[in-house]
Amino acid sequence: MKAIQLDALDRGIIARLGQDARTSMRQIARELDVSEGAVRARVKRLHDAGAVRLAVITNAALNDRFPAFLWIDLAQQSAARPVVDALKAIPAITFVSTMLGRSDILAITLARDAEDLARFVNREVEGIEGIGGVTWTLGYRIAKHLYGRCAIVD
Amino acid sequence: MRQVTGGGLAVEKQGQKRANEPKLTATDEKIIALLREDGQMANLELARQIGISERSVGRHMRRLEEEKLARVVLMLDLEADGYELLAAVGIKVKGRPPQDVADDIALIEQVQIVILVAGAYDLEIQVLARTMAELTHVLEDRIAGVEGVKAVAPSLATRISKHEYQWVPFT
Repeated sequence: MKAIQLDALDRGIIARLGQDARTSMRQIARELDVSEGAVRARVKRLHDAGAVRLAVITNAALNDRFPAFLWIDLAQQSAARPVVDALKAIPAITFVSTMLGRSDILAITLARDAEDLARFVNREVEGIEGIGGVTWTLGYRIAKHLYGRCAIVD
Repeated sequence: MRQVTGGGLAVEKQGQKRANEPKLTATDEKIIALLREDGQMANLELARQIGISERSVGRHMRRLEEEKLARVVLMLDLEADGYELLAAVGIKVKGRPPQDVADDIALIEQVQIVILVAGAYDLEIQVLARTMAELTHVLEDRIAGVEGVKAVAPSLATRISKHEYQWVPFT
């Protein structure tokens, strides 16, 4: 996707909907002191361009799991596509990207503890054909986690 | 731990059970599942699909919001916003508590995520940048300059195939 022009009103609307996407257009119009029609048109443009999407987030404070980073090396470089597809298909994996640097692929999941993660990697990940090796780091505290931007894929 | 809020930024100490901690009910889970499919689904339609009253849906939605259990949010595409580069960076810390280093790095605007980890590194962070010059500036001038940062191991996402946030700390 190409970058799109976002003016101050677009950014204001995105910030408001980034806190609560079910805020009414009328409410946003009132807060930003513009017409409801203007807000509606801006939101429609963003959706039509595929520049935004809605997501439901649940508060990590309720969860006793932490992000775990799986650094995956391929058995051979040509295998990237099927390995990525297999990782993507695992519901517990929330992020998959090919990488330049520390490993060929980075996948992120959530795990309760080292045992939980080791089990998951052993059962669900290491068996994927084309994977040469997996090393991981397991989170134990989140110091910062923004969620306003992500790669919109599919 | 330092609390920083605003602009969708949320920092929260995790993993500690609060007394009388609110929990998601089975109905909450159903509402969340339906909203994950269609974030704009009206309460009336949610009610119809779950088989409860519209008022009950409204009550559940209010509780999810007030107790900060779950919320529907708008996410902006990285590339649409001009962010061509996402770096996942491992950081080794020496001579200073990792939490303090994490708090300092968290103040850098381009840094989206800072997580204290066990393993080959002490912190895993994610950095967004619009240009390579910006990324280099953040890595070399900002992060490497934080007291206690001993080693910085960056890697660059070349093609992101899945990017979901489901469990996120928010305040």
